[in-house]
Amino acid sequence: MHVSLRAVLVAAGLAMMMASPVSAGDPAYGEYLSAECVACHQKSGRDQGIPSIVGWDEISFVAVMLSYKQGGRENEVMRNVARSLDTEQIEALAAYFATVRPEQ
Amino acid sequence: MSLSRRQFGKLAGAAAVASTAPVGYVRGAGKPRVVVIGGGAGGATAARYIAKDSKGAIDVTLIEPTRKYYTCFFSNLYLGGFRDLPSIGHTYDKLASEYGINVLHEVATGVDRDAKTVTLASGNAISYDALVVSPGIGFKYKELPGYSVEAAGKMPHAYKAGTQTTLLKNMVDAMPAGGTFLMVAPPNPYRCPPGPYERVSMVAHVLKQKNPTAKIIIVDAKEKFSKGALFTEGWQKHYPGMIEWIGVDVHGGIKSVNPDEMSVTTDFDTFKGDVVNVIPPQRAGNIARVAGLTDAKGWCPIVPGTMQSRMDPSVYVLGDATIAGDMPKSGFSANSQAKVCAMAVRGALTGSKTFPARFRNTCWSLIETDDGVKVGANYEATAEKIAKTDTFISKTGETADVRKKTYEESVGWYSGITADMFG
Repeated sequence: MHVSLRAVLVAAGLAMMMASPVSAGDPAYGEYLSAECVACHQKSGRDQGIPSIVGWDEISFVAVMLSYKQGGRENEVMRNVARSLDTEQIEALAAYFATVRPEQ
Repeated sequence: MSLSRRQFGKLAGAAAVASTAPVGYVRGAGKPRVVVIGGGAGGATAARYIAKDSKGAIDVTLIEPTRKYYTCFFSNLYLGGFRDLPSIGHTYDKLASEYGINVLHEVATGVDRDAKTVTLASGNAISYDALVVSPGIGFKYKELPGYSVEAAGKMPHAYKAGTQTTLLKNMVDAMPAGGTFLMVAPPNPYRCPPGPYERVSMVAHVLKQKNPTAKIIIVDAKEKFSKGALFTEGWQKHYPGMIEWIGVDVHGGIKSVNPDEMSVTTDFDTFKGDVVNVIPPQRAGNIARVAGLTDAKGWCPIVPGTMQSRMDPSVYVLGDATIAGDMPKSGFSANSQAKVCAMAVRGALTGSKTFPARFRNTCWSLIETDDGVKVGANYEATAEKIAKTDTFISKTGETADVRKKTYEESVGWYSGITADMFG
């Protein structure tokens, strides 16, 4: 599952447009890991200066994190964060944040 | 947040109301009890995460003297006029009303680790199953002859945010034309390694507009300093000729300060200032020493994987007060450590699942309008210490666009971390 997901992401820039959720990640593990993210990215979805990461579809989330991890996207903080996470952890985070709805 | 938190908040409402009642009443009888001393980036975060993730199974009391807490991080931006004071002030209202935390605005004066009780200045005692101590810094006045609590009224440290910061800001604003701002920068280790140099940048930003012939002199206890190349480049670019940094290898050592003369004496020379900002040598906050949690140098040894005190497994120490290996003393570090601690505390008291500790830090600094820089790292807990694994730092010569984005990111981080601390 992990290999095929990564293959899809690397192969296609279409990932951002794919809306259907995947369920590879463990949201409970993701909730634990998310404590690191919410030091900067607000769980409420408020986004001044730092983008919101709540309510994303899982494929987009994983694609963006892998891009940081592989040095595609530029932001040293996020590259650093992504390098500290393995694919299972990124998928868990994706699964968790997909369940969080922005507060209005 | 989710429905469950709102429901929890309602359930916790009764406890929050009771928090204004005298201590000693029975709350949540039979529940394990956590007491947190200190409501900053370490303590507030730990209290919030323990209460939130235990979903009411742990009784959490937070002891913090101030009703309004001013963050040390971003207090330099207040000095520079980029923020007003209310924007860096926070209350504990949500921690009480939404998370059911018993917030006591009191001073903790003692800890009896055998009886597992914390004594308060009011004379009351409060018992704990696990104690989290996050007291920030104290000052080693004896290591800087002439400096004292009284002297800080004339030569502010402004290294605990609030009235001291306002005092320093008013002095900078009232400085005579062409006057000198003199800073004494502290020896390692100390809170916020780039803090003194960001402060100099912010003071220079104010003086450049209001008092352009003024000078800034930094008499430093160190031979080099955090983000040194980035600050030096920024100072030359934005404030040419205004700032002079004098390291210990040049002045030979800081001997004393004199608040009546507004002077600082070193081996080499005596420096005078119209405004003198003395950032003294530091140690862990008082209660850590009183509780017997400090080593000979005044800081708290911890177990890297859990943030437990090396002196007592029922006590956890967070943030600036700790010897956290490669992690710097920063609000970001304290917030990161607090989450590891919260997980370990829940595991110990309720048997909840624990995961390997993960630590991270990022420190942003502002040099001039829209010129932000950052440094950061990942860390892992080894048997010996919290060890750095992967680091980055802004580069000299970056484009204005990159620097502006870095500053904007820091503003976003401020909103994020304060929401993570105070709810």
